[in-house]
Amino acid sequence: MTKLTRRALSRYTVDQLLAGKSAKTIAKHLAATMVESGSIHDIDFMIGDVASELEQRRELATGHITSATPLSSELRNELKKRIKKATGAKAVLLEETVDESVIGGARIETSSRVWDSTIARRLADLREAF
Amino acid sequence: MITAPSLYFAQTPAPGSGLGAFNINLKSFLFQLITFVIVLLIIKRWVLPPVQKTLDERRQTLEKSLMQAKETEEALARAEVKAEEILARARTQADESLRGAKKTAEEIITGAETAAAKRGQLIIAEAQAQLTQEKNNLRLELREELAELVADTAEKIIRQKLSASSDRSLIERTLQEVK
Repeated sequence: MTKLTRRALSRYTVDQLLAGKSAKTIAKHLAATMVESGSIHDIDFMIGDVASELEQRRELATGHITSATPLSSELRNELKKRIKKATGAKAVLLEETVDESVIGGARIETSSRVWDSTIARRLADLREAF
Repeated sequence: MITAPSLYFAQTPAPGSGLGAFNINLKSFLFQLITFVIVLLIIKRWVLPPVQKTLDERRQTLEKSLMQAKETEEALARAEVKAEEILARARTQADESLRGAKKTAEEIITGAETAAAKRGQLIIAEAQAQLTQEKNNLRLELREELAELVADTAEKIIRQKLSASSDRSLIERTLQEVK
């Protein structure tokens, strides 16, 4: 049996999702395939690949924002708009993380890009600059 | 030597002869002369040859000894000359050996000095390189510590001073970068 690549699997998964198949069924098939091929430990990468494939097909962009304080709904909507515009996706799934270690500012990631203007990042840059 | 016949002749003087004028007895004189001749012949016949032979032998021995002595002297002289030559040769060889040894010693000393100088330069170069490296490491370490200190201080100050509005402003600025 030919072992499927992660990219091929992610494409197949996105195809199935867009065809309107049940996400639960697709997840079961995907898990079975990965267990059989012995690549179940790559599940996080697989999720990333599916998100990237969805973003490339401009169907769904997954955004992740990390900030020291929770976002206001106004900022959240603004961010969704901007991600939608930047990726050209029809919909945006936004995940939020509050982490005080970033001190201030925000770190925004999509499956293909990162914008990091946190104070923690700037201090790290300062340390590296020396 | 006075024998009995001679005494007899001596007792008969001859006053009328010429010898008598000298108070000499002719007979006695002749007798003594004959006796003398006989003795002389005896000596010549039986005494002189052995003596002569002995003297010849002595002379030959002496001559031989003299010759041997001369030969010995000559041999000695030759040996001295040879010894001088050997000594001169030995001196020359010794001088040459000494010169060679001196040259070798000088070469060894020069070589050792050169090697020592090179080694010294190498040690100095290594020490300088090590010193430079340590200086650079120290400088780098100091810079890193300084950066750490500055960043830590900045972090503390920012944590104290950063207000909610400032944070929101920073986030908004980040949002504007998303294009």
